[in-house]
Amino acid sequence: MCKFFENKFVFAVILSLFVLGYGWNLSQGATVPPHRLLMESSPLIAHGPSSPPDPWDQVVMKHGPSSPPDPWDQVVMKHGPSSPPDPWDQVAAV
Amino acid sequence: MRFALPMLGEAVGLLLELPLIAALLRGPYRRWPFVFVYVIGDFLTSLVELPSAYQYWRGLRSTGASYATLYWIDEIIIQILVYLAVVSLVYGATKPLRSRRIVRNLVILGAVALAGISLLVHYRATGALGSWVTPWVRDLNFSSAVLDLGVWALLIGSPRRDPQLLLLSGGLGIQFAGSAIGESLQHLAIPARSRPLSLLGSQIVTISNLLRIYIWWQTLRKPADKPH
Repeated sequence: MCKFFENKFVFAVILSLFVLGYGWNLSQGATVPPHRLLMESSPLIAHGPSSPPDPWDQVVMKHGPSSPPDPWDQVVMKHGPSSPPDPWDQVAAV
Repeated sequence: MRFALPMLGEAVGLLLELPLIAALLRGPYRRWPFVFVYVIGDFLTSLVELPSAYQYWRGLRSTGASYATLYWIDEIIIQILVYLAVVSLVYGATKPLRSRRIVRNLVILGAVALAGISLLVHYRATGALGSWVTPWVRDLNFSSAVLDLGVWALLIGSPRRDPQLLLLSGGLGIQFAGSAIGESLQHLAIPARSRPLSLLGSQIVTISNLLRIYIWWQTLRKPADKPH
């Protein structure tokens, strides 16, 4: 296994995949103001073996060409004891 | 498929994490305390998510939302732990250096400064906690990925590399790359709300995570080789 990770080609492939994935996510946020670029478009990197939920179930600000809403709008929507509406209703509520 | 694959990933992940924790407890946790804390955190958050994940992937809408919320709360905890683990790998990579005390101090100061500056930029005294915590942990995540890939590159170029450190940073590098690609696919799924594409993205994320756990387990279950 050590030889695999010593291989420069392997490293180049992994680095390229990371840059490609991250670049794509950055390009999705290219229309937001520069100071928010990294913040809004960086992937919410997944953790652990749990599969991430569908993207429309978590952050409503990451899609489309229009500027995303303020982050506190989407955070407020997701808390509280009552059951939240369907995600597309949440988007409309913003 | 939409239920079976995520739950299979969850089960395999939890089962793989047990021998990894056991391997760390046999001694490596002393050398890699922050890696150990990250692994424990990863295991516990996965365990906590299991019931709501089951209901979410089963398609029960009311509990599904709670899974999404819980998942991203756990993400905040995990991003802080992974950042600390990566900084400890950077710290470990400075071992062969002659001026390691200075470099180590610089690494720790740099890591604290990076996290602190990002916190200052995003912190808001008023408003919801998530409004500044979320961008802050994203910055930590990006920094973790860059630092980890930097350690891996440094070790490849080093004549006397530590094999354990190489495998730990390489395994984490695969996880970062898989997550970036998987989440890009999830971005692509948003406009059409394509569930198959979203599932593919989430499974790439899960598989890259499982690979990291497996690589770490294989690395830490054997006594550390001397640098070569």
